[in-house]
Amino acid sequence: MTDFTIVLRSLRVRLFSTIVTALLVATSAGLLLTILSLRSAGKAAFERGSGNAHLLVSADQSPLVAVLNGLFYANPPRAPLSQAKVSEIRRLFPWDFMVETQLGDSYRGFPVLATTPEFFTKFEPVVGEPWAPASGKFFDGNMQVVLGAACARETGLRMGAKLVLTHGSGASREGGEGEEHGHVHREYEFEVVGILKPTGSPHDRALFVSLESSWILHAHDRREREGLEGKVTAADLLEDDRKVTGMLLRLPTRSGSNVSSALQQVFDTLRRDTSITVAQPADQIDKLFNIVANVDGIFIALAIVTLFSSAVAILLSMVNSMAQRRRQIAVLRVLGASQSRVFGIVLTEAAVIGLLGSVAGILVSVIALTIATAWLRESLGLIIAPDFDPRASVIVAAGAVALSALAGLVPAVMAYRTSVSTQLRPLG
Amino acid sequence: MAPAASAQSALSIRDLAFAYPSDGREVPFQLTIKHFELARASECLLVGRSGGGKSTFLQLVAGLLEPQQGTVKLDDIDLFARSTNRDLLRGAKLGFVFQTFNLLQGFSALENLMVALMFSTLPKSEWHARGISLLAALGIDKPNTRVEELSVGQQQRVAIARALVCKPALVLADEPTASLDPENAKIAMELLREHCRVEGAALLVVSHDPSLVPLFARVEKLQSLATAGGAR
Repeated sequence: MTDFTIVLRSLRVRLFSTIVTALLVATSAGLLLTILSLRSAGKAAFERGSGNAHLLVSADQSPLVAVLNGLFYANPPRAPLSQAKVSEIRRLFPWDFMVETQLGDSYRGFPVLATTPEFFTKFEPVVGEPWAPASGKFFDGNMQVVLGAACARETGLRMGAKLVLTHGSGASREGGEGEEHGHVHREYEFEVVGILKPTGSPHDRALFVSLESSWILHAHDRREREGLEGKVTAADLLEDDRKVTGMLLRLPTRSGSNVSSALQQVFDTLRRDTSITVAQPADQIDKLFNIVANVDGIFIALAIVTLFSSAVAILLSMVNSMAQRRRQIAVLRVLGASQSRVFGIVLTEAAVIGLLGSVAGILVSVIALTIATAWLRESLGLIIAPDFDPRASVIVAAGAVALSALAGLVPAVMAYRTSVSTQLRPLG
Repeated sequence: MAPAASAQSALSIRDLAFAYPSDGREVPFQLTIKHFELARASECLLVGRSGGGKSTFLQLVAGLLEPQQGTVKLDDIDLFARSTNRDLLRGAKLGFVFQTFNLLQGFSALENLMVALMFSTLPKSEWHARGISLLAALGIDKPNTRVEELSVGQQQRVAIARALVCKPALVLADEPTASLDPENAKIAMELLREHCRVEGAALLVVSHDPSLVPLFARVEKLQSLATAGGAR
């Protein structure tokens, strides 16, 4: 038998109150830990999309918009880059790779990225994790389409399936039910030749076709406007049809490194050209997270306030229970416990509630994050790896215990001042 | 002149005076004990009218109230000396039996004894065996049962065992039979007296139950202690 055994027995006697107050602490500690875990994990999830490209060039109005459009498929870029500009940039440096992209079409709301085969062989959606087909292959000709993992899952498209693309991002359905929005390129049917493995990046929600295929679709539209009929081939393409909306660029690096010493110099050189927008994707993601950091701070502040309110709940619960407990405290005093010892026992009780709550909070946080990340992966294809920082868990747990002990001060003082004579028998 | 305290004295009181602080409206309650002595393994029934100060007397003996003057010695240790830790002395030298038992709810019979042993001077290695054997001697064969699940009679036995478990010099019993019917009261009183004798503890029972008077060879009236002392 120790003082701690007395603490545990007292908590057991008031089991309902103990559980409720511990759950309050668990909820607030769990919420705080979840927010802290997701904060860095969310950023990491965004960083997955930028891949191994050092620079992104487009004609968007700002570098952040360029990244959001070009890598996160937020919107189709506002304007294309001319082929002359593409050639100029190509000649500017000995790039490790330069992948041209074009956005603007969609399939059932999923963005279609027209690009070159180097997109699959050179560009890595996540650094160190190259593209890999789950089935089929990457496209090697026109009118072939490769599906991102989430797109394949949500559309139900299989290998060999045929589909047509929509101009714009409207949620049209080829040959299906429902209203169609935007122009459908019905004349050219694409065949699914590959389905990609999940990458945990926004690319999982996209469809990929060759640049030339996309140019042919849009050349057909031009020719229709000009009154020309018949299928278009690569030979019919004009210089103006070969539109590109973005370029993913990578500079040569040392083996095993993702950093180029020439990056800043190249970046500054390209920025002098006011007809293009140049972005360093990693920097833009940092800026984006700095913008949302304030919102993040509000959530954390709310969670801390909740933690304080749970400490108040402990205080109220223990003060309410003191009416029943004074007799027990008086008995302990009669048996030989000093005032400071009963003070310590009551204070420890409050701290133990805090400890139980924070341990439960850590478990709640781990379980909630596991479920949430599994759901995000399944439903959105977004891979979020929560950052379970043991140090943060220890700090939150220690904070919860300290706050609970602080809340226990009032009942502990009440216990300290309990009159033995009044509690055990009225004065004779 | 007061007689000298016996070497085996469990309780020795000299020239004790206590008064509750006055609130200015009425005359405060006062208690004076000229001299009271209780030897080890002896017993005494202290009687007095209701409101006469019996409980105040017990709290003074337990060191829970501090007198304005006089000395109280437990096992020849001055309870109110500056060098005395009253909490430790109470845990080591005194056992209590209350009218309503005051057992710790949510604790088993054995745990109630173990809590008392926490404040004793007995070696920790002896606690468990001491608790089990004392409970068995008092007829409690399920020591791990929670006290609220025991009958009233069993709870009384656990209370007696808890009072004796630390091998006290003195057991103070405050109206120990007031919650019991006459038959159980008699059994409880016999158990308490018998085990105090076995353990060598002095027994001081405070009660206004007249049925207890024939059981005790020494019966003192609280009022009479104010002027004439008693020592045996």
